[in-house]
Amino acid sequence: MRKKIRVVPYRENLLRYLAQELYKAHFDPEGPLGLARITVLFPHRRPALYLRHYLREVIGGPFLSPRIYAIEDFVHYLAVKLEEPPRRVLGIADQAWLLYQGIKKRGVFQKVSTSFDKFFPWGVRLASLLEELYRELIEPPSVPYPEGVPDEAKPLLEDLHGIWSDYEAMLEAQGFTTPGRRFKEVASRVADLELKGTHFWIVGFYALTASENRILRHLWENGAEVLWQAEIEDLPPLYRRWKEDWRAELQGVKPRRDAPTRVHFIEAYDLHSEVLRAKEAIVKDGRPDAQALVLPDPAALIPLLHELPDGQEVNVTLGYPLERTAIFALIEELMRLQEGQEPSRGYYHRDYLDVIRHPFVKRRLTPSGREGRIVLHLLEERIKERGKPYFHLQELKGLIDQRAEAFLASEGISLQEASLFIEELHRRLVLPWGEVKTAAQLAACLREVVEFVLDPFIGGQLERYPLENEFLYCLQTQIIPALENSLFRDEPIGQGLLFNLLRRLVALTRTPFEGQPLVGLQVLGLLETRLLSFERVVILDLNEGTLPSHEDVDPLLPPSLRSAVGLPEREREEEIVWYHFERLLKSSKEAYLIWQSAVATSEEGLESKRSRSRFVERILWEEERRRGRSLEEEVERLPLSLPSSCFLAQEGIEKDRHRVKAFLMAKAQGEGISPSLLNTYLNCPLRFYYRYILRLSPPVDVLEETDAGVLGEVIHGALEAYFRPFLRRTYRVADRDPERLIGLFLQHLEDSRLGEGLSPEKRFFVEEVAKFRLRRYLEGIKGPVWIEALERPFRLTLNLEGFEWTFYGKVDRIDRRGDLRVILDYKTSHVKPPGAFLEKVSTLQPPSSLDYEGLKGLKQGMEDLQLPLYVLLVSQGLQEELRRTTAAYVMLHQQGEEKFLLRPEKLKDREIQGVWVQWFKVALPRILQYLLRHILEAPLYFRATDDGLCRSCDYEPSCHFAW
Amino acid sequence: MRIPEELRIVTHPLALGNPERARAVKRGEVIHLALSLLSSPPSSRDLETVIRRALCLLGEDPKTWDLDALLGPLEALFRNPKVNTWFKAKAYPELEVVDVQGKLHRIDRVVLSEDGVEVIEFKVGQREPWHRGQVKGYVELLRRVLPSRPIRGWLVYVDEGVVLAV
Repeated sequence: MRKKIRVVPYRENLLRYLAQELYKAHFDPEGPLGLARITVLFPHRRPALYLRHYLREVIGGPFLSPRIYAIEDFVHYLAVKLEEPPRRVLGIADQAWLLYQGIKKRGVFQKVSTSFDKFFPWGVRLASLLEELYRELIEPPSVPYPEGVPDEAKPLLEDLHGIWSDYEAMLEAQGFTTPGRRFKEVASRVADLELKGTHFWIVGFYALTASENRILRHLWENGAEVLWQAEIEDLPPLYRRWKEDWRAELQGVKPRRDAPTRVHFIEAYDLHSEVLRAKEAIVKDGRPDAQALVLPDPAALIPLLHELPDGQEVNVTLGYPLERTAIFALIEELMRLQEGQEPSRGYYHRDYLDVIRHPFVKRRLTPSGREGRIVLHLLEERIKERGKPYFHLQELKGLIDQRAEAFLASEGISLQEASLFIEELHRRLVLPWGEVKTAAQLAACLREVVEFVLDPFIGGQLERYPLENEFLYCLQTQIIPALENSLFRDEPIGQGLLFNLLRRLVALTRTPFEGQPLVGLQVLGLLETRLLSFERVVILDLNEGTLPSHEDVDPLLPPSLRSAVGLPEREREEEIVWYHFERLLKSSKEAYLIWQSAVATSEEGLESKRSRSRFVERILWEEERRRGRSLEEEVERLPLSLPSSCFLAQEGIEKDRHRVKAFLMAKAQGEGISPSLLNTYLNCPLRFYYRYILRLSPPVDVLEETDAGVLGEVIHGALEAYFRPFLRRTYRVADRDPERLIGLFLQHLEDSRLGEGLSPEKRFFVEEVAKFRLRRYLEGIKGPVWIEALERPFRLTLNLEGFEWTFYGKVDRIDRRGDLRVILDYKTSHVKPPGAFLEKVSTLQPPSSLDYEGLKGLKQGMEDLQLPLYVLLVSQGLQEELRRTTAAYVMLHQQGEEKFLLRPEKLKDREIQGVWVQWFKVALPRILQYLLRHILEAPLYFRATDDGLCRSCDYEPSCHFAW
Repeated sequence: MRIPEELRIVTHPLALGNPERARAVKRGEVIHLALSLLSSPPSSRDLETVIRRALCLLGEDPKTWDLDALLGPLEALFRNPKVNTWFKAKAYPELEVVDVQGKLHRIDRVVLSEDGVEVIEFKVGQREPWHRGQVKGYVELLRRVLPSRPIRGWLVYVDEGVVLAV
């Protein structure tokens, strides 16, 4: 008689059915040890909790539990009994190391074996391949002339059998084994195992490796019960193959539910809209099989947890990538700090600031229990003020000095304590990483980092951060032991190589969250749902590339070569995932399938609209066939909802007129109103507000790039000093002395913030460009000029609307050229030249309204007030002076070309001269009057009149109105 | 932004700041597992084998452990006739019992004999006041599952070689 396999339909809860069958077959209230004598094998661990839950429901009181194993644990348990003596199981890093040792001796793999770090990625792939071959009971063959693989992979495949033979010999000789090798061992000797006295139930397996197949078949042939979950009349392909292979007779189980699953198809906009819709779909229900939220991409976990309603008990069961955690971010920053260090210059300031800004570091307390972030903020400020991009740690000692004493004292921290706090941070967190030469030392550094960040939690706080606890536990039990107990623990390895090794190790590691005790809402990864059934299932991120996941092509063994070593095709993987998806969906009463439609940017920077998963298409098509109509219109498309607060109710910030009046009057009656102030308002009243009214200083930062403002100051200073000997004298072509000018430039550069901040290569570039431009500028001065003024301030008081307004400006240089006076303003970077100035402004009338449009209109007619105001100031508004005064920008980046408000030859034209004088005497004061009224009376500080200005504005990051 | 207080996941004790304690906890796990792997009174060689097996199952490198320090207390323990008897009889190591609330309890060893059921809890390290309460709880739990049999509880302090009736 053929042996049977029971097939439980999707619409029956497999584990509840199993509990009932176990109860019927093995439970006797008079002899309840029956259950303790059976062993249940599952593909993974999670179903054990549910089976006990259902057994408790069926039995209704305490009971002795069956032994329940995940197949992986069961095989390891059996293997240890078989091994004499028991063998140590190597992790992936040690497997790669052992392979490296063997391959080095073979001596033909120079491209991949020059260093362990270089070999490591290949080693991981090779070890994974051998693991798969062990599980499939395949002795690795060599692959002659492999095509479609990188050059590095070819020798590995061509000599695969030899590599494996060496590897096997080393494992055998040194008493090691691997997880895959244990499967092979148990499968090969399963008949020798003492398994009598226990009755096995094999439940919920779908895809079997060859070793699993051999083990489970042996158990089945010796009396084990086997339960599948599928529709018996429409078996999935791997079950069909399994049935034929075992020559099993299938026995169907009748479902208790007839109604098909009600499926909701939902197109969300992005992750947040998905999460909000999922939140609507879940209800408050404490039963652990009532509802599940399934996350094919664990990245959705944290946003999801933040959105869950209060009082909703939740289990999380999935693997979260360790490399996405805050603790690894800190470790990464510490490695980058070391990697960015220059032996002669020290640590790079940005890397250092990343470390001290990390939340775990900022959370530490000072020795007296004050908040350490106060000291760290101060330190950051001082590093920026100091301006050096690189520094040695001892240089930081003097930064928190007497100037900070009063501030720190107000926070209860003494200078000495602040200094001790920083020293401890360096001693424990930074310096040890510089000494790392072996994996064991790297492990010690990691241990110290974890202890360092753990300190602030001690005192019971850590229980408030269960996720962080588990991330730290994952480091403690997986990463640190993998390094400190590794076969290569004391092998000298370059620091960079060790850091990369750690990165790769972390990239392979997931923190396994395990939801216990079993309560309420279940948040699970897709693989963690295997065998489980829920009344309501919400699956997020059903997009192509996420489910099924985008499989990177294995460069060592691309799909085309899998058959060459006897491994199953990759299509099988998708088939397996589809089975679990379909089973989960069809075992629920109600399913919400949600995907994202927003445009996503790929890692390569390409944008594309995300498309829904082929799995959704398949379910949609099945539903359409079942219902006999298209369901596309029934797809719920979530609109992109923006809260009303996103829309600005006003065009700017309300003005406190008394405050602005007090400020402007003080200016007008004090040093005077500068063109810079007026230009600031004309360009952006909000910027005027931040800078002049609120007095917000733009952030100070270390200068690494050639800051245009600082370079401008350097050049201005050099030119002033160059022409100073000729003040009130004639400067002739014969006086041209570029070497003196360059010398002055270098001296001013050295004295500036750029002198210390620029790296040698950037400094070289700046110097060479400046030398070239200054030479060209001097060459451009053709005729003799009489230098009337250098860096000279001017003031003028005008009566506008009954008030006395003083204006002020400091001009770079004034030349007398013939009978004309030319005001020069040096420009080192691009400014819009005042082309056809007079034509533009001669018809410009001040707007009538004091609103945003009025100001914008003025800005369009008059870009810049600096040179016109200089002309007015220098001429003091006198007709005679205005007739012979013009102004120009000296464009130093364009060979010193002079861009005039009005060219000197035009000023000699009587008619033009009349318009010029009239404009300055009548129109400009009106414009100034309008601008002052706008500053005083407009109701709001409006946004920028030119949206391009926001891009270079220091206040942009915090300005609510920035374009 | 918050993580719900109702989040229920398994959180593991961190022992990074206290490697000695971490080592002591691991030692306890090794001894418990080794005892659970025994189905009859062991020879010294058997004990060494089960200790090695336990270390391997727990992912430990036997080279980093002093095997004699693990073996010594176990050898002494098996010189106690009562302990020997427990390993001769029909026994359920690591017996899992689910209570009425659904909570899982794992009893180190339950021995069935003609005159009743012995509930045995092994303890490694120092005595703690809650140990007795734990065994009493197990006895009460098993009385509900096996009401017709007399049940006795035992505490075994492995390092001291002491067996106490509870």
